[in-house]
Amino acid sequence: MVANKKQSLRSAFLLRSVFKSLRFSYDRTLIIFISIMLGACVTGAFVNVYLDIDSKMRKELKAYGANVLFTPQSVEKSLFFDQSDYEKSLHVIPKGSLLGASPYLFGTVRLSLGDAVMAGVDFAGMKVAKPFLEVVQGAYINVDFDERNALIGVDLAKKMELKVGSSINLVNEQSGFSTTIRIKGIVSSGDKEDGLLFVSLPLAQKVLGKAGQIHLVEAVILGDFDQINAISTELSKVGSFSAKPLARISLSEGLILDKIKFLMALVAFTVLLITSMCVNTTLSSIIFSRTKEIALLRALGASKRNVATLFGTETLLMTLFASVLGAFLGFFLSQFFGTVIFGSGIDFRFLSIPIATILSLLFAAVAAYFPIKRSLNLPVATILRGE
Amino acid sequence: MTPVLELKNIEKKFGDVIALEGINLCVHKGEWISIMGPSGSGKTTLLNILSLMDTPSNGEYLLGGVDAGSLDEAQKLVIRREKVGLIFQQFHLIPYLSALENVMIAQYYHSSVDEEDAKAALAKVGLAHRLTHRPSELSGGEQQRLCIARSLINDPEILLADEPTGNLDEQNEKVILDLFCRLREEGKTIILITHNPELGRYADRIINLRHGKMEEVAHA
Repeated sequence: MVANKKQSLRSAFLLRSVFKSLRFSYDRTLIIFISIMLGACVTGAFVNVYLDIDSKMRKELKAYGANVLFTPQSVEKSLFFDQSDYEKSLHVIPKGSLLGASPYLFGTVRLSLGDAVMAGVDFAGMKVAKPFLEVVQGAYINVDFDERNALIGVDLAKKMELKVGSSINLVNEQSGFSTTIRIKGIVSSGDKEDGLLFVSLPLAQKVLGKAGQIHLVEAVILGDFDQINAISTELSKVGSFSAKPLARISLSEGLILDKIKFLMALVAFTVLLITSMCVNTTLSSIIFSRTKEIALLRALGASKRNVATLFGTETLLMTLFASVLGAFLGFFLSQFFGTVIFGSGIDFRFLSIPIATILSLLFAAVAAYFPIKRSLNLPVATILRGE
Repeated sequence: MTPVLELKNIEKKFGDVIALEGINLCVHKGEWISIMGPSGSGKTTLLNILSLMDTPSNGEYLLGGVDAGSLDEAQKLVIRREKVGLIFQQFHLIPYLSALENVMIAQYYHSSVDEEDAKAALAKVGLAHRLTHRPSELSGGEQQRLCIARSLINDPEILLADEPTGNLDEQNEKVILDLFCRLREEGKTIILITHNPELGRYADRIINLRHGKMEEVAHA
């Protein structure tokens, strides 16, 4: 009981001395505090971005369009596969990973000025699978099963002298099915889409007499190349089609992500290194200016361990506050990075706080080690003599 | 009676330079010894050996009957904490601590802190009204009295003082001198280095050092 009270009095005195010491040399303390805080802030920001970059970058890279293609298992046997198989297969994809998908059914239709290639699509899914498709006139069709409107590629519209609001009559001569649709928008991709007429898939199936049949599916699935490859393999097991990742896009996603992550780790490491050098220099200067104090403490009977505890506590308190504050500020810095780079905020990851704090503490500890060690080997008598 | 400390043929060399040679000294409890001599005569080197902050190159140093040469660093540290009180010419006070805390820091490294004891030590040297003042807010004389209070707080057997009045004016010198006289009356063993013959006169014995050798031992 008495021993505990004595110990708590000693601890309280040590803390009081430490705080007074920090306050006394506040200018240099502030330099160390700010250095560590900035290091932790940048590290915290990078950790936040690092943990969020997968989803951010993948969403960015999805601007390039579909990364998985569903095609018939054997084109020698059939150019079509069952729409129902494709729809059944979707449960294989982890929840939230499917950003969008559109089946396609192609066929030739006769228009007033000649033949045209028609594509039956899921308009909402195609918007994700072909994000580069630009509406140059009119509007996009946002309803999945709009059977009264169509989109037309800019080249085809010109060739067929069709404008937004023009009507087209589509006929299936075999079944006698006939319908009139209206051009709602003219679209352009600068590629093959410019020569196509886009209608809803059910309408195309009726016009072409291919109920429940599709040629291919384009899908956008979240994940790195290996994950997408694994999902594709699972998808292919479901039915009459085979799903394959579009390696060009999925692989480059992974490579870009890896490179960006490496770059961020390198920048964070460099910042921490610069921080620790700053801490080392400033702490050396503080300790140098306190050599007489250290010598006095040793003369009063302080062991090397006592002196190390004193300076260690000072450094720990300073770096702990600075690191935690910096790690939290790092979240706000990550928001800035997110807004500037991705045009949106970065999700707060609690993990960034302990990671940034521990990394900053480690670098500060290494920086503080050598000045403290040097201080322990000072020649006490010589210093007190003032030589 | 066992002497408080005893030096037997002590020698100290710094490279080829002999700082101390053939030093023999026996100090008993309650004695006041003044070590005098010109600059470079080895006074401070001798004090460093006495305070276990330095080790002799040759010879034997017995502190309370224990051979200091046989002690490791940790044991020397304990003896310095327990038996020795140090008073410096340059005071060596911690600038960011108050007068009270400057005394308490010596308690901290000795055993435990006791604010009331520290206050009493300051009152003893006439600084009861300066408890919360920092060293920079004290006069030279007050700083030296604070240094003395710090050296006394752990009730050491021996007080080792290096030019305690070297930085003080005549008035403050008198105050410090009175303080040492009171400490002697209380039975403290005092070893004091000084240039000041006036201060030396109060000692029981005066040891003159010249070129590292004891020239004479004079009884005051």
